[in-house]
Amino acid sequence: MFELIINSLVIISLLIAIYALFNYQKEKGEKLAWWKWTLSILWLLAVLIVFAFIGTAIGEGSPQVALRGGITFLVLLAISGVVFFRFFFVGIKREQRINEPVEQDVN
Amino acid sequence: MERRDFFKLAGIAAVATGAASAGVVGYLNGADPSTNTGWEKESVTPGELFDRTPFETDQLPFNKVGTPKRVEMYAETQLRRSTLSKAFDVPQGMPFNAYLKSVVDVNNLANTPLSIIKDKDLAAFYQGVLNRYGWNYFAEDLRHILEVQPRFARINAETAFDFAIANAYEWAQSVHMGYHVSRVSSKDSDFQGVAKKRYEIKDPKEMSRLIKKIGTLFGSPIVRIVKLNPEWSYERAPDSIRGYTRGEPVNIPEHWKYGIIMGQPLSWETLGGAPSYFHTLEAYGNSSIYAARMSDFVKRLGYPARENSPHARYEFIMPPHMVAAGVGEQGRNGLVITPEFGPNFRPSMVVTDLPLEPDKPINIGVRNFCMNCKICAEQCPSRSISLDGPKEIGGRGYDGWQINAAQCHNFWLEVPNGGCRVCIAVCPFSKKSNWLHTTARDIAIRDRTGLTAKGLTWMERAFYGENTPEHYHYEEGSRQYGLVGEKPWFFESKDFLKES
Repeated sequence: MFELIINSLVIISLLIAIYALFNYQKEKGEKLAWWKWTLSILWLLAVLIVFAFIGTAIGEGSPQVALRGGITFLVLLAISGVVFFRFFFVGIKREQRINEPVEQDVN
Repeated sequence: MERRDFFKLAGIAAVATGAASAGVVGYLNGADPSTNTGWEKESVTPGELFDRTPFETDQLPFNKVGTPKRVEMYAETQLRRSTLSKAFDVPQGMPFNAYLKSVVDVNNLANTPLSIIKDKDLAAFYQGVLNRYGWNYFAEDLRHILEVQPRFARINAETAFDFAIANAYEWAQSVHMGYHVSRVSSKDSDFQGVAKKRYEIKDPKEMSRLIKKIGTLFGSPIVRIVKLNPEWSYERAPDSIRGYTRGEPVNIPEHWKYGIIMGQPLSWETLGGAPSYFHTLEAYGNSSIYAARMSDFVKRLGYPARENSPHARYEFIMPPHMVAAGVGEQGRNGLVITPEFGPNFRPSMVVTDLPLEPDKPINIGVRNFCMNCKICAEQCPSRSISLDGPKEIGGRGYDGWQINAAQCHNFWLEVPNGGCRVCIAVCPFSKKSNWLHTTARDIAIRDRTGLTAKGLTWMERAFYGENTPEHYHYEEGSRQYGLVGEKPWFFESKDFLKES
């Protein structure tokens, strides 16, 4: 029963994260391209896999593998996460500002 | 709070919850005892652990090189040197060690003449090695008996549990061992106990399917069938067992037609304890028992059967037959790498003429993996594993990697409790069957570009760490041998026993 709950929690969390991302971009008045969605979901899956990796390594009695592998992958995730966020959202904002029509003085 | 910030926080919270939950799921999977696959597991469905069908091929996964030749008595059976005492006329009641000291100059072992050996075949073997490689093997063996083995008496006091567990396995299985040996005690023992009524087999293919199911019921997680190749057998009996006298020619009778291969991995829990604490004896026993059960089953159908197993010993060479049967592919460490357990698999085989359909070999890319990996060769304590590419394997008729078995065995003799098994423990294929390792394996064996294999090898080195060969050698000061990983807590006798 516990395994069912914990497995469900992983899936529900993933769905909530996707839903939150969807609404976040909507509230910002932006629309992510399909490939940005793909990368975002892959990144979320990678987060889950890395933590599952850490847990598995600890569970099978290899804490040093969890430590070394965990640090390596978490650093990669953090870097890719920041790059994606800045590229997907901050980049869009700047792009939109550049494309916005300049208000003309009618007077 | 703005809606936008709310969703931002909700997303972060969901990712954090998901990550934590995934960690727990991973932990449960990693700690699940059922991932110790094959280890004393009584029953699996054939093919449940790994479906070989997509990897089956009509070609053997190696290149034909040279002419196959049956194996000479000593060429690849250097383990027989552990019975070196038989090669001398040792006076009755005199310890072998004491006898040796009386006939050799202990300060000048290198100049011990081979003429003192009674067994002329063994003397010829030592001379052959000296001629070919310039290596005085005989002196090395004498050094082991006179210098290394007495060291164990000091170490053993610190490894009480290690010895107790090994001896417990050995003692209990020696009962079976006696039983096994008696079942192959003569050349015609294959026919002893065969039912008078011989059942006709409707379809060899269906019979093979049945045999595989029965084999898994008997406890073997892998059951494969091979058509026996007489060239992959011993030319002469390496010892006075199985109805032969030592050195007697082994003739292949007509009813040695098919081999039913079974086996078992060594205990996963002790893997990190290699070389000293990773045991062999439990798998020896169980693998032999599976063969005994299967041979009995076959005999009751009215067909002769003969066990080739760790306890009953062998007439046939197992690795090439295992490769031909699709049990796995031969790796750099000379062992057969199975998809389920890597090289951690102790085989046995029942030889019979029960009509069966042989299995096909498989190609899971082990050769390419081993070409790149080399972890076993780099860590081998005796440097017995080649770092080069595949070469002709002497007498097999194909290429691959052949370890220096005698050099390997010399390190065995240095390790308390006998044996090494480092190459099994460090192989990236020797992993438990949890989602992490089976997923990695499944991707690696399908990716023929080799990129996944290279990535996994990098991770193996970076995450699991790398030891030098010297790490595993005995340090006089610390009185310790380095291990692959952690010593299993249940081997730590000083935590449980008072110092005497």
